Order: sequence, then structure tokens, then C-alpha cells
Amino acid sequence: MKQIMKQMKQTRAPLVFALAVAIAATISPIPVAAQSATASNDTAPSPIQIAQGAKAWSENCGRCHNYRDPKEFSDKNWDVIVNHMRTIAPLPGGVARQIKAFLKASN
Amino acid sequence: MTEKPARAAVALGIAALSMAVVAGLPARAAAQSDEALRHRIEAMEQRLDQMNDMAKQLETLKQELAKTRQQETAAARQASTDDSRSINWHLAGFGTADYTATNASGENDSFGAGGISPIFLVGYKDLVFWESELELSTLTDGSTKLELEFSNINLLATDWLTLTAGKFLSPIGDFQQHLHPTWINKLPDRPAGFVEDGGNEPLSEVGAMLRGAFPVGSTTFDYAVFAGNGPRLNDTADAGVKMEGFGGDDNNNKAFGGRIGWRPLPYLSVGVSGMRSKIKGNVGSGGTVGQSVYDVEDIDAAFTKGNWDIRGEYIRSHLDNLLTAIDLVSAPVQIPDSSWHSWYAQVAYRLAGITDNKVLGNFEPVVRYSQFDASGLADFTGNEEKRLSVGLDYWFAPSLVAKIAYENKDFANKANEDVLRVQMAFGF
Repeated sequence: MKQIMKQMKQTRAPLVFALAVAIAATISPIPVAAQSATASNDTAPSPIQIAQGAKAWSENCGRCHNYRDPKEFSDKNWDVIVNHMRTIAPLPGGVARQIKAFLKASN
Repeated sequence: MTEKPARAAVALGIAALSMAVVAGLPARAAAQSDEALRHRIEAMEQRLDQMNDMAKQLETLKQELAKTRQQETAAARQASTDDSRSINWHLAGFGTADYTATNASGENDSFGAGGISPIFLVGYKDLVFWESELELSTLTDGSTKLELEFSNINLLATDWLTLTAGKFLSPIGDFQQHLHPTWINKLPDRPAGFVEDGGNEPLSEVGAMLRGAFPVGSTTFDYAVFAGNGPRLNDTADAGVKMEGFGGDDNNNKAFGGRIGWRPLPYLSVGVSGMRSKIKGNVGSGGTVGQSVYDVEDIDAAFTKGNWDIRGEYIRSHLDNLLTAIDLVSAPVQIPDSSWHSWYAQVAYRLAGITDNKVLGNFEPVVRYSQFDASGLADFTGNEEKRLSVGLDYWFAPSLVAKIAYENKDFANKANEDVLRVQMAFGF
């Protein structure tokens, strides 16, 4: 019986993890599709968003490495690079978009 | 009376002359009119020729203009296509070249072959993101080593949730995840104990992970929760536990772990992280082996304000007593509970904070103390070390650095070493 319980515990762990994923995805405040629209690259950032991006850039991008010059990369490069940093830093999605807006306006 | 005939003759002459003039006028006028007309016709012909030439030039210009407009339209269309492209990619990474001089017994001063770690970043809109890093280096025997450092797909589900699957850098601690690339690491070497073999820092994991960050008031929290195949015992006991993502699970016991980080201020961050797993004993020459719990706990902190960069991290790991072979040719034996402890503290200061001189301002002195201790099985304690590292960096650019550093390595079970390292690193 003890062995059976042990095996159940072992098989339960991945299920708990999968459940956590499902719950997290379900209770997310911004569904994926909606985020796609808000994160669209087609809309030009406002001056306020650029200013917020400058602040976010100064507060986040020097925590691990030196600040990189916005002119080092193109807009499209920054799109990919900042998404990389968004996942590994990690950064909230809104902050990442502000930083992108600043970098693209400054390169 | 003689004046009359003379007057008459003069009058007659005048009359005759007048008649002659009057009679000749129409002919002269006609001749002059023909000449003028001819000139006008010639002039008009010249103007006509000029106009024909101009018309030809105009036609040529029109054709060139139309061609230019076509090219502009094509370029605009291409630019428009580029802007709206759904899939974008970027080749990032870093390269390293170094030289090491050491007084270690049996080791020679050597140039290190330029290693390179290309990172492929591919994104689909702001929804999906793939990242893969290769690590290429030349070994001392001349052969080339190729490793997959990480390779994972990320679904940017919400502003504060990313789902990651594949091989990813371990979220345990701060150094491996954020600081180990040579263009970021301020010293040429890793801290004692924060290494692949013989240390206790988790490097990578193969599995799935949830991670993200979210603001709380004026502060920011970040988190990561993962499940993976977990670590394994190294083939030889002195190398301890290997925590570099395995492509399969050898004991059907997944590792679970995560990290919670908090940034109360933009320049201050702290994090706690941990992992729990089970490790299967090595079979060695044959026989029954066991499985035991292996835990890792980690605390990290960083202060990065202005020109100061101060940070540290502590890792503790523990393996319950385990029935395992010590090496590949021995029979399994029961080894005792074993623990590993490693930590470092590092201070760096960019001289730009105290001088306006551009050259001097690019220098950055660095001091780091690190220590690695182990207890339990005697073989595990072979790498116990206290290390003092003193270095000086020169930053040619934000991601191009030359480093020189002296290390004093005080080993518990072998002769101490003094090492001088010179390194060039370039992040791109």
C-alpha cells in the first residue's frame, strides 16, 4: 500500500505542474489574443510611452550588464532582443514594450 | 532771267529722281520682305528642331521618372513588407579569447582558443519566442567541443506569464542565469564552486517552466517555477552532482524548483530559489543501487547603483545517504549524507564616477572572494577552496572588454595556486 501511495505521489507531481500551468493560463489578466493586439508593432508609440521606456531602460538594463547603445541594433533586432530579455531578466510585458519604444525612437 | 532755266532743270531733276525712287520702291520692298520671311522661316525651323529635341528629352525624362517611381513603389512595398514581417530573428552571442599563467603543478601557461557562443533568437510577433545557444570551444588536445547551452521555446502568454519548454538555463540563483557570459562576468573566471564539475551550481535543466515578472506598487516581483529531468551523479565521485540539463530522466523522478525575486528599488534585487529532486546511484561494476533526495537552496542579492556593482550569492546543496558506486569500475557502497556550500561576494566600481577622463573612466577594478566547501563523502571534498580574485577591466565599448586578474586559490586538500588571467570578451 505504501508503495502504491509512493507511486501515486510520483505520478501526481507532473499532473500538479500541468494543472498549475492551466490555472495560470486561465486566470491570466490579458489573454494571448488580446495581448497580441496590444503588443502590435504597427502602432506608433506615444511620447509618453517613449519617456516611460527611457526610465524603464535606465532602471532595468544595467542591472546585469552595461547599457547598450540604442544605435547598435535596428528596430527589428530590438524587437527580438528585448523579448529575449523579457523572458530571461525577466521583465513585465508592459515594461518590455516601453523599453522597445524608447530604443526604437533612439536608434 | 538765267535763273529760271536753272530752276527748271533742278525741278526736272528732282521730278525725275522722285519718279525713279517711287518706281523702284515696290521692288526693293518685295526683296526685303522675302529675306525677312526666309529668316523667320529658318528661325522657326530651328525652333521647331529645338522643340523636337526638347520633346524627345521630355519623353526620355518621363520614362526615367516612371522607372524611378516604379522602383520607389517596389522599395516602399518591400519596406512595408519588412515592417509587417511576422517572424524576426537576430544572431546574438559572445566570443572570448584568453591567456592563463599559473604555478599549479603539472600545468603550463597557455593561450585559450577563442571560444564563441552564438545565440539564435527567433520571434513570432510578440507571442512566441525561440532561443538557442551553442557553445564552441577548442580543447587542449586540439579537438572542437560543441555543446547546446540552452534551446527553448517561449509562449509570451500574458504580460506577467511566459511558458517555457525545452532546455533552459537554470533559474536557481543569479550568476548562471544572468552573469556567466564572459562579456558580462567582470572577472575572467567563475567563482569557486559555481562550476559544471565539482561544484554545486545548477547550470541548466530540460523541462518546462513558468516565469514572469509583475509590479507591486513601486516594486517588481519576478518568479520562475519549473519541472525537469533533474540532476545526476557524475561518473566519478569527486565531480559530485552534475546539474547540466539531461535529455532524458534516468529515474522517473522529476526535479521541481523555482525562484522568487524582488526588486524593492530599481538598483536593488534579492532572490531566493531552490530545487528538490531524487538522484539515482551509479551502477559501476554492477549491483543494486538506490535513490536519494537531493536539494539545492540559493540566496542572491545585487546592488547596482551608478558606477557601483556589488553582488553575492550563496548555494547550499544536500544529498541524503545513497547506495552508489564511487566510480565506473567499483561496486555500489553506501555513501553518507553529503553537503556542498559555495558562495561569493563581489565589488566592482567603474572609474567614470570619479574622473572625466574618458580613458581612465573606462577602467573598472573588481574584487571577488569565493569559497567552496563540502562534507560527507571524502571524495566530494577534493575541490574545497577559498579564492581571492583581484581584477582590472577596460571597457572599449559597452560589450567589449579586456580583463586582467590575479587569483589566489587556497585549496583544502592540495597545494595552493596563483593564477594570472588575461581575457578579451565581446558580446554581440
